[in-house]
Amino acid sequence: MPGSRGSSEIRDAIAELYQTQYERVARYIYARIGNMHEAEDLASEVFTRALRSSHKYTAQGPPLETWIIRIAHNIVVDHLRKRTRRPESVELDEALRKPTSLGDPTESAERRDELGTLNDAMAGISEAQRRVLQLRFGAEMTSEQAAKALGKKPGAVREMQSAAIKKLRELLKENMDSKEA
Amino acid sequence: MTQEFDKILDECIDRIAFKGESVQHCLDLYPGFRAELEPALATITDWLMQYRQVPVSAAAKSRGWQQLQQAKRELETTPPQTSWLDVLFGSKLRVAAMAGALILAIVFGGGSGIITASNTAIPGDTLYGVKRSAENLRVAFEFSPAEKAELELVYADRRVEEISSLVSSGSTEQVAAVQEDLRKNLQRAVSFAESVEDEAVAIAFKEKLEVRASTSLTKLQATLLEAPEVVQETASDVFIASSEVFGGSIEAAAAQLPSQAASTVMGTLSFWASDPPPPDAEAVLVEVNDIQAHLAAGERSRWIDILDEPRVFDLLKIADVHSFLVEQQVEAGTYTKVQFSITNSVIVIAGVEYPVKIPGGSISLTRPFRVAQGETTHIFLDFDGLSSIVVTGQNEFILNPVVRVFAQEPRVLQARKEGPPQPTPTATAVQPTPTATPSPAATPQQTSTPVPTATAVPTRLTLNDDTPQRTPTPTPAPSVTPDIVPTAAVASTPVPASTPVPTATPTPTPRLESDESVIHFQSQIEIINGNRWIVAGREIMVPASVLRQGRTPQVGDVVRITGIVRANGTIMATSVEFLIQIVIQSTPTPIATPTPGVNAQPTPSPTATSSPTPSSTLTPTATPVISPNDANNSNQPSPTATPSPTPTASPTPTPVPSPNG
Repeated sequence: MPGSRGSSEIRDAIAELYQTQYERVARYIYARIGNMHEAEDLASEVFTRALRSSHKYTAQGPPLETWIIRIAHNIVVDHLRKRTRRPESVELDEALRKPTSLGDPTESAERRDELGTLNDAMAGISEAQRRVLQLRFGAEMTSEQAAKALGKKPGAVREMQSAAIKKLRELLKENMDSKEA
Repeated sequence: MTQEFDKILDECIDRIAFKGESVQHCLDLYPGFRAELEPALATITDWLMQYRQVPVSAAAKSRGWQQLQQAKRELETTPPQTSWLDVLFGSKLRVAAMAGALILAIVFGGGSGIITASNTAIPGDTLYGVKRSAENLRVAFEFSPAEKAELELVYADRRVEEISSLVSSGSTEQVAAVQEDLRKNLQRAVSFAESVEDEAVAIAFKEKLEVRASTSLTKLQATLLEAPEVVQETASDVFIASSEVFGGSIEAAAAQLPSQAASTVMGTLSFWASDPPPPDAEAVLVEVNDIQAHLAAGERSRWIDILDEPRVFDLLKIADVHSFLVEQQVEAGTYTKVQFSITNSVIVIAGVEYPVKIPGGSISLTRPFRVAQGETTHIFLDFDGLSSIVVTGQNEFILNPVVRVFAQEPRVLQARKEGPPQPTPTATAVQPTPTATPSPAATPQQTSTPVPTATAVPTRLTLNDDTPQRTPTPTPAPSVTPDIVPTAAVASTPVPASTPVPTATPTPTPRLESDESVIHFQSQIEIINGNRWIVAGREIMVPASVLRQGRTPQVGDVVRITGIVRANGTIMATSVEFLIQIVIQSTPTPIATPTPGVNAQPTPSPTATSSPTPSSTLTPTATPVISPNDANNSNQPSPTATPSPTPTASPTPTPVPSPNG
């Protein structure tokens, strides 16, 4: 990211990114909160907030895409915090276990069920591991980008990724076995 | 080894997930890691890749894009904010300093002139942004969700005021945006209320929301009715849209409450019809076929049938009483709409029946109201003959009554309850009154041309605003049915749905001797002979002291009399309220103030007889035509203004928008 870019240029860049990255951001948020409708709204909010905070963006920091994912992370954290204050609120893990929270009637029941199973299993791995997978598969980031977003070294991220996939596989197997039983 | 596998797996993820390569290709590339790699890659393709396939709504993206563009425009049109604070402290500190100033201003009660000044700002004003920011900050500062919800309701009320201001000033183009903000305020209020764990608080919130909805909409309605003519149609839409926004939020709030299905509590919905038809009609028959009310109860929201069989009413026979339509026990809760289906209506003039059209075949009330447990909510289908029947041409009539809700029992009905029981299910069983229908010969109007035409408008019936002399809550006379009717003059000011007849300030009941009783009735003045009047065939002594100064009574005026029945049978008036006064005009005058109509199609003729009438959803309780009456009255009540039975003074059912019709 060139360091000399003015706020106006950055705003244009954010608007451009919206067109190409909106889905990624929405899916990343979905992977974190388990509800696509909310994820879509929050994804819009991410870009609007990025735009309003564009004067805070510096080229010395992470690339714009990564910066946006960080904003997404903050928005998700705020969102989950608000949600846990509500009486009917669900913890993150619980949210992830909730297949119906997709709420999309056009989605096939099978797909919802599968996503529910996946979300269930995701709840069983550590938060750090989960975030790596969310960034990799939800936000479609490379491990280097995920490392920047998480403020970790790429090697550490790859290690977490391997461990997360291994653990996830076990959990999914258990889950499927118990369903069959 | 592990690190190497981590790298290989990472690379394979990129190849498969982002480059679209096959699993097999990866396994072929790294045959030495096949045993570990294969299950890992299967987990990715079978499961994790699903995140990439979750559909993202294009509509949501497009909506977000609009928001983003809007935000971008706002940022680009805002001049760069460089101040001496920036220079001294940098932008972050400036933000902190600004926030501090704003917070202090709020905490210490509006010390900041700019925020105070911005409170009245409307969209388009420079300070409007400040106002909204201050609101958001104020909400953010409240800790408890209940307080936040409450604040959002206050701000929703502000939005309604802004809508009022915009419509009154004719700048309707921004109304939609404010309405959207209103929706957001209410949505946030409901959402904050959701996070309150205490069920009682949630219920209280819903009730508060209903009260707010009622008062806000009543205020809005009052303003919209006075809006410039050019925006009247918009005003009508604005009112309906606002009602729906409130209705929607109430539905949402209701949906959050625990279902009452297990132990449904009941309240009562009571339906009434009221008010007089045109003076020269012999009968106005209205058949109410069906009444339905929409209960807002989350998943159990539904239409509830109120009327099980059609009922026919002769409006003429219920001319000066409230006729009871139907009363039904219904589930207590919030209702957002009432639909009256009127299948048939005819007006009989000089023995000839003319069909009366009902626009749309039904009349609806789009406005939230509440039926409380064990209590009765009264719905008035208000057939004010003077404004609800519109003459659109030669013998063409349109019926356009309004619907009013009294969330609490109106005093007038309480009074009636104290009188004889009044089950009046059909037109024939209307409560008898001492006044009945004025006899045709009794007044000059009745002798004139019976069929109204669009051109003859010399006589103007004007409703008066003489409200302070409202009749007291009666001590029921043993022999006379109290007849207390909030007709024409009752609602010359906006009637909040929850406030029964606000103008009905009871005057003290006169001190009675043991053999005296109080009587209330209303009818036309038949004879005036000094202080002796004949009203509805009764002789009444009217001391000059009970007449408001400057008000000269005339034969034909419709008055509401409260009096004492002496032991010898004579009646001494203690209060005279003018409901309708006859004013002679030499030329036809378009007098009706067009009011927004939903069902009504405003007809193009400029004469008074074809003016648009109030609609069923916009209850024009504050029609400004009333106010000039005093002027008319003080200027014109000379003896020469006595109505004469000449054809030029023929009483057409001039649709003067009445204050309650």
